[in-house]
Amino acid sequence: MVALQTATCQAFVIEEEEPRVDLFGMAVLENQSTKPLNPIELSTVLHKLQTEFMIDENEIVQSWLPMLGYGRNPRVLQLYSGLHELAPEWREALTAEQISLETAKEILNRPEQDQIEIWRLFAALRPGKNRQREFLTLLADVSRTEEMTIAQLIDSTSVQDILNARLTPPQKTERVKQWLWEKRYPRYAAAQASFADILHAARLPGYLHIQAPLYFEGDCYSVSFAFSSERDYEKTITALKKLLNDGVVEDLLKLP
Amino acid sequence: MISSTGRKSFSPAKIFIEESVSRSAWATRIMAKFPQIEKEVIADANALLIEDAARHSDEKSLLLARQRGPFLRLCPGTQKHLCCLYYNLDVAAGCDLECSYCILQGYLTSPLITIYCNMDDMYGELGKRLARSRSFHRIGTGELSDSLTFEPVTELGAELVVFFADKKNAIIELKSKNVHIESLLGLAHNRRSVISWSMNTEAMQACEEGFAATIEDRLLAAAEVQRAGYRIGFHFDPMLDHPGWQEGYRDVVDKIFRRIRPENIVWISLGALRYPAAFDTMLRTRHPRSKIYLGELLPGMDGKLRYFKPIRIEMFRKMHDWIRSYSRDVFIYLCMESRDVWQKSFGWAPRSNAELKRLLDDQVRE
Repeated sequence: MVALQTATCQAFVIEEEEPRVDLFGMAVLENQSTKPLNPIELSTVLHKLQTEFMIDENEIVQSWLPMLGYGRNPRVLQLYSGLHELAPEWREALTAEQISLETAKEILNRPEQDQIEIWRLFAALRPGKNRQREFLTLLADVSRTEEMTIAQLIDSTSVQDILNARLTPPQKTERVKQWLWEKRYPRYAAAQASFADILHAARLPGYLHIQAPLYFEGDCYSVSFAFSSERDYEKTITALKKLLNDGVVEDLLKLP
Repeated sequence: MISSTGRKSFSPAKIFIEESVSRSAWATRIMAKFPQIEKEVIADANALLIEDAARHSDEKSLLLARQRGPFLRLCPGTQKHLCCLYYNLDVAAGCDLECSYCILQGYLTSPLITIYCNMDDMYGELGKRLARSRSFHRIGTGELSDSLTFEPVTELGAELVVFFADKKNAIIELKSKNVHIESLLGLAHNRRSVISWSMNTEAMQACEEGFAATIEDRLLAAAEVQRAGYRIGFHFDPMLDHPGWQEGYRDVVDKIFRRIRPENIVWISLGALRYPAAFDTMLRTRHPRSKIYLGELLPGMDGKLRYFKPIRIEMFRKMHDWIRSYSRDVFIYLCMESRDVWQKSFGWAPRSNAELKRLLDDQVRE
C-alpha cells in the first residue's frame, strides 16, 4: 500500500470454506476482465482444471468454455490443451501470433530435438504462417520417406549450406523449399528442371513465354507474347519458327 | 478353401431403424439376423445423423433407413477425364472394411452404416427404367458400399442376380473386397451378373485394406463363382505406388490367370490413387501409419490429387503388358483418366465417353 502510495484498496473477502475451484474461476474471470487470455494462458487454465481440480472434459466443454468466451466446442479443448508445455521460444512466438495454433499443435506433437531444429529453421527463414504449415508438412513427409528425423533433415549438409549461404531470408526460404520439393516430388522436380533447361538452352527472347501444362497433367503447352508493332509481331513469328526448327518444340513435347 | 477370417461377417454394435421402414420385409429380415443386438426405432434418420454422429463415431452401428432420393444414379464422372457412364445403385452407404484410401470417409457424413429398406421402391424404379429405356445399362452396387460385405445380412446380391437374370438391356455388377459368395452359388443367373473383385498387391492389402479379405481369399472366391458359371471382373483401383509395386501387381496378375480362365473375365479396370485435396488431411489424421499420401500426388485437371502423370502411365502400361501376356482379348480399361493417359498407356484411346460405354456394353451384351 505504501509502495502504491494509496491508503485504500478494494478487496474480495472470501470465506475460508469457499471451494478452491470457485476461487480459481473468480481469479481467471478477474484476469479476463482486463485482457483476454492468450492461448498459453488458456491452455494453463484448462490444464489446471483437469489435473488440479479433476474436472472432466465434458464439464469443461459445457460449463467452463462458455464462461471463458469460447462456446461449447470440444475442438477448442483439443486445440488449446497442452500448449503450455511448449518450449519458451515457441510459447512466445504463439503469444506474439508469429505462429498459428495449428502449427503450435503440430510442434507439440514432435520430439524435442525436432522442435529445437524447426525453431532454428524458422528463426533463420522467418516464414509466414502459411509457409510454416507448408514446411512442416514437407518436413514430416520427407522425414518419413527418407526414414530420418526432422532434426536430422534440417541438420543435413544440404539444408545447412543454404542456411549459411550469404542470401536473404526470402532467398533461403525459396532454396530450402525447392530442396524439400525435390525430395518430396523427385520425378516432378526433375521434369520441371528439364523444362527449365530446355527453355534456357533455347534462349527465348524476353517478349516470348512458354508455359508447361500445370503439373504436366494436361497435354497442351501454351505460348504468350507481347508486341506493339507489326515488326515486333514478325520477330515473334520468326522466333517461334526457330524453336520449331531447332527441335525445341519436339523436346518440350517429349516431357515429362 | 476360403479362410475362416475371410468368412467372418459383419455384426453391428447397435441397430437404429427408421420408423417408416420398421415393418418392411427387409428391415424385419435384417433385424432377425441379430436377435441379441440392441435396437432403437427412430422417427427420422436425418435427425439421428446430426444428434448422434459424434456418439457413435467409434463403433459400427447400423441404420436401416428409407432411401429418399433415387436408387439409380449415373456415375458423376470427373471433369476432363473419360467416364464409362456406369450406373450406381445406392442400396447402402458405408462399409465395415475400413480401407485407408476409401473415399467414402470424405463423402459420407454419417458414421453409421446405412442399409436402405424400401426395396419395393428400388425394384419399382429399376423395373420402370429398364422397361422404358432402349440403351444398355451396366449397374453396380459397389460405389457407396462394398457389394458383398453385408451379403450374409441382406442377401441382396442374390436377389439382384435373380432380378437381372431375364433383363435384356442391363447387367448387375457386384463389386467387392470381401468373399461372401455363398448366397450367389446355385442361382439361375443367366450370365446377366458380373461378380467383381477389387484387387491390390498383397503388401497393400495387408497394410491399407483394413478388414478386407486377403488377396488369396478373393481369388478363391472368384474361382468358386467361376465354377458357378458367372462372368468375373477385376478392378485394380486404386493402384498404389509403393516399393515393390511392379513385382506385387505382376504377382497378382499371374495368380488371377492361374485361377480364372480369360474367357470368363469380362473386364479388368485400372485406376491410380486419387482423391480430393480436402481428403488429404482426413487421411493423415485417421490413418497416421498409412504411407499412401507420401506418393507423388499432385493436383490433376479436375483438382483431385493424383500421382504425377508419368508414374500413372508407367503403372498402367506395365499392367496392360502383363495382362496382355496372358490374354489378347480381355477388355482392359482405365477409370477416370484423360485420353492422353489412355493413349500413352495403351496406345489407343476411346474418342468419347459414349465410345467407352459402347465398348464396355459390348462385353456383356447378349
